[in-house]
Amino acid sequence: MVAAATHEGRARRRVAGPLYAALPTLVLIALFVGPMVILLYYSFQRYSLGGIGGWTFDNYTSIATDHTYAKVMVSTIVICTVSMVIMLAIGIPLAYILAFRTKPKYELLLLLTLVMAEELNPLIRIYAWRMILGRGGVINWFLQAIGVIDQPIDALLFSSTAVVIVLSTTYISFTTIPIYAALKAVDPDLLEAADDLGATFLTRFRTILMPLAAPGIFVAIILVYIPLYSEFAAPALVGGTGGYMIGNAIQEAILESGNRGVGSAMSFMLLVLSGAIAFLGYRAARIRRLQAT
Amino acid sequence: MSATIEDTPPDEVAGAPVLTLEGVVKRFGDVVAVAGISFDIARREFFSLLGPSGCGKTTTLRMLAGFETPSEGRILLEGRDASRLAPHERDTNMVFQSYALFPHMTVAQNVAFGPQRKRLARGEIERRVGASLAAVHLEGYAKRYPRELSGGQQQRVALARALANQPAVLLLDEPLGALDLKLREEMQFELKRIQREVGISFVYVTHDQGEALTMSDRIAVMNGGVVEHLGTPEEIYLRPATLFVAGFIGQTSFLPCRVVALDPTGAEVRLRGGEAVRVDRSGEGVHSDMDGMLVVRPEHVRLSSGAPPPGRPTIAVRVQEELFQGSVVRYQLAARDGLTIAALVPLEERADVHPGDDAWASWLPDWGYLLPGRPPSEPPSPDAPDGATGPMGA
Amino acid sequence: MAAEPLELGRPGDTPALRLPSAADERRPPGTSRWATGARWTFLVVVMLILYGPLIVLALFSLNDSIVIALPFKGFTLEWYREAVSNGLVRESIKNSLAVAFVVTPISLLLGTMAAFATTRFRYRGRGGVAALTGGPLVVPWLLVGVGALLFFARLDVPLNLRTIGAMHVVVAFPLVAAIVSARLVRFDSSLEEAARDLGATNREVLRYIVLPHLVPALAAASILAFSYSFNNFVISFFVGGFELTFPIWVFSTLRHAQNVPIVNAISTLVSIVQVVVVGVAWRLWRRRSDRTAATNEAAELLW
Repeated sequence: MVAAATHEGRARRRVAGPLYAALPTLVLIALFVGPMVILLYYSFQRYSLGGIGGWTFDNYTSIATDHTYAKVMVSTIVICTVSMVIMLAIGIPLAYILAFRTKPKYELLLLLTLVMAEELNPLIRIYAWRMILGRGGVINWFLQAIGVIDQPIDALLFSSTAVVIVLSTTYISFTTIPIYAALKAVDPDLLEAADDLGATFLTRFRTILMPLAAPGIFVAIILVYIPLYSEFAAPALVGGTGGYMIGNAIQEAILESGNRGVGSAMSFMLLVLSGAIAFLGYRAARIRRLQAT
Repeated sequence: MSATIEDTPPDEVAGAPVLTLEGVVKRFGDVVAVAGISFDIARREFFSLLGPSGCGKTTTLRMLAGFETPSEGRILLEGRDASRLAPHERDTNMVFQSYALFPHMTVAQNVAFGPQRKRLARGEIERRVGASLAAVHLEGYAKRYPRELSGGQQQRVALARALANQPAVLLLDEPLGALDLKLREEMQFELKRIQREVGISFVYVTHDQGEALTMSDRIAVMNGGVVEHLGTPEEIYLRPATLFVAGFIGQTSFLPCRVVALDPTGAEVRLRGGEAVRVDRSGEGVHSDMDGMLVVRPEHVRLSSGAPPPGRPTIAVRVQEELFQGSVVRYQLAARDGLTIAALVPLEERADVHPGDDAWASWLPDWGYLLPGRPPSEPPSPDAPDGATGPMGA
Repeated sequence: MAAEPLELGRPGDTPALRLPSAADERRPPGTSRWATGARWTFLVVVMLILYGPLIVLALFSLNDSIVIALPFKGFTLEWYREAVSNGLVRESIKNSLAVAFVVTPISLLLGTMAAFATTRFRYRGRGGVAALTGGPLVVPWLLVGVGALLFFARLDVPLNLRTIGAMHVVVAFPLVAAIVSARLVRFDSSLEEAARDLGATNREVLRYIVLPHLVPALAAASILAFSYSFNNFVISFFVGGFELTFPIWVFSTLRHAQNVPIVNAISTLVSIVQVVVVGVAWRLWRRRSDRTAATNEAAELLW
């Protein structure tokens, strides 16, 4: 990687690395590590209307003992996991089709449409779904028009279902692309060889594709599952009371009720949770990748 | 067949060598890649570094280029110590094995890159680009991109790019490795022609001994980080300095023997099977009463049935294999005591012997060569070590 | 047929990606009529899911009714006129654009520096730098936003477009670094050696050899960084104070009102622009190389 020519050149290079790293590292420490540290600090501070007080564990204990928080956490977990499963159910076949069953000239085009879908403003997308799912929205109008129902379905909007629908459709591209990339790296001759040896589609899928796509799946999970937990725009706009998530709770605590201690504590817990998922996913992806090669 | 060996003597060069290595050693941690080599390269010389993978030839070349620094020793370029100079400070240029053409530049831009770095005048740059492309016969390709060219064309662009800088020495790292056989043979002649026309010294690294024999004025055969033999192709082929060189170049049969007597006209040896044989030529380090190795090339062995031909070294053999190879017939022969010898006989001199027959294998005394033998614990195989291919084409 | 450039074996070609051959003309497994039909249906459904909502959005933006409900009342451009003349809309779009245009070059610079620092040199602490740079990619933006809010509050830093911009850079440049690193790692070092051999100094090697190699990655990264900033809601919401960016405006407007056609109008406009920009960028990319090479490059970039 490094074409160091002479001793002098190599010495110069030893300085150059850290030099390049200096500015980015500084920025990260100041604006990323700093805030995380403050977050941790505040989570242990007593908050009252007067201002910050002394050290305390109260924030954490109040979260642990309060039933509402537990309920919110559970509903968050459910919503996120269901959404993730749906996205994998759509994303894996989509990635497969894109990687193996599309003519090259269409493949790039399809990939492009996937990427473009990511570009669109997520708030706009949430709002669009609100129109589709509402009482007078597209789905209800359609179902009424063809006579399936008499009254519009209320449960579509302002419920956890709505949140799941919105979230699943927002992150599909991010789910599909890593899996697609992993599949792309598989030699298609492997599949033909398996077929030649008499493997059915399911067997090929199970024994060849899934193991080799696994690193991509883990990357997709890291890329998508973690951000799902901190969603709060979608729940706020289409969730109603049923689709209330921990992101909303944090936002309320920090910005509205002034309970920054609890808000920080919740945030920090979420941070630890995200870190754990990321770590596990990363290790799984690495191990799989090494096994596959 | 022996016409592939360079039959015009190398240009006589007056004056100082263009490149000198003095006691150059290169260590990578605990590994010694180059264990002390010293030689000169003359002006206008086509010089090859030949050897198997891992012998240190590429490392040596990279030290000449400036990509590695010698751990010990010096490299003198045109009389000045260049051991620690960076690549861009030296008057050398390299043709890489992978060509390393800049993909985002056209052929002309690639070739112009070096002269541009030297801040030459625009007119001079254009002139050099044109001349270099003409030298490699790629005049019309200036505006193409490397990805549009075939492997052979890319290789020529790499050469033109290096030549445009008019270096004192051109370094080539196995440039023909990626080409198919026919193209490789064409390019060998091309490279030799270009070197002659341009008059620059070439230092050429290869593991293909046929290639080295075809193109070089002199060859340094390397093994295990040292130069085992430095000489002209003819010297190396006919009078190899060590057993390794004998085995690496061309095809060879090895006959372990005991040197009985040595006098100014030749040596008397006794083969393992008991035969007494006379050898007229021997290498360095041979004296009487020692273990030796008689080295014979298959193309110098002849077979006869009936009585052994007089006046020649002869041993009794049994024919194991007979393979028709077009213009020659190849025989695999078993001598006494388990030894195997190969014979490569032109079709018109073929004897009437077939597998299973007993016969006599003989050679003119001139064509056997005696070298010091290995210690008893290390018997060499009668087959050539890997990397050796016959210049005659097997 | 247009002349195909010769795609002859070069060192570094990925063997796994190949052109369709005659063998694919047979009916390999999975290409029965039924399977093909199912596949197409699936693709259509996915496209509907991804783009349907936007089509609905656009349709309603032309609907002559304040209530967003079917059936259609009539065709009108009223909402577009309102959207374009609305002061808050203009301000929010202006702010979002301004921030994005400043954030993108800074992120490109920092990201490229970080990529160089983690791939081109070996030194103690390199792993730490790499891990730190990966941090913002893994930590959810909600937490980054909350943390930054508290951080600025503690240091008495006023919340405005500048704090928004700063935090956008923090989350965008690691992405740039990842994209540029992926491209940098595949850089053939013999090209660099050749350049040095031909007389190039370090600076010249960077300028003439390394940076041109990075251009595709830099282009993709700049588009991604720009959208990251323009579309960013969560971080802007927390550290923006009272400033309006476009996503913030959409959120506040929708939060307490039912449905507002003016949002439809401006959203459709914005989406169209985003699609066009990506399309144009794609066209430019396409002109560089043929389709297969482009697919290969795209896959490489992603993986």
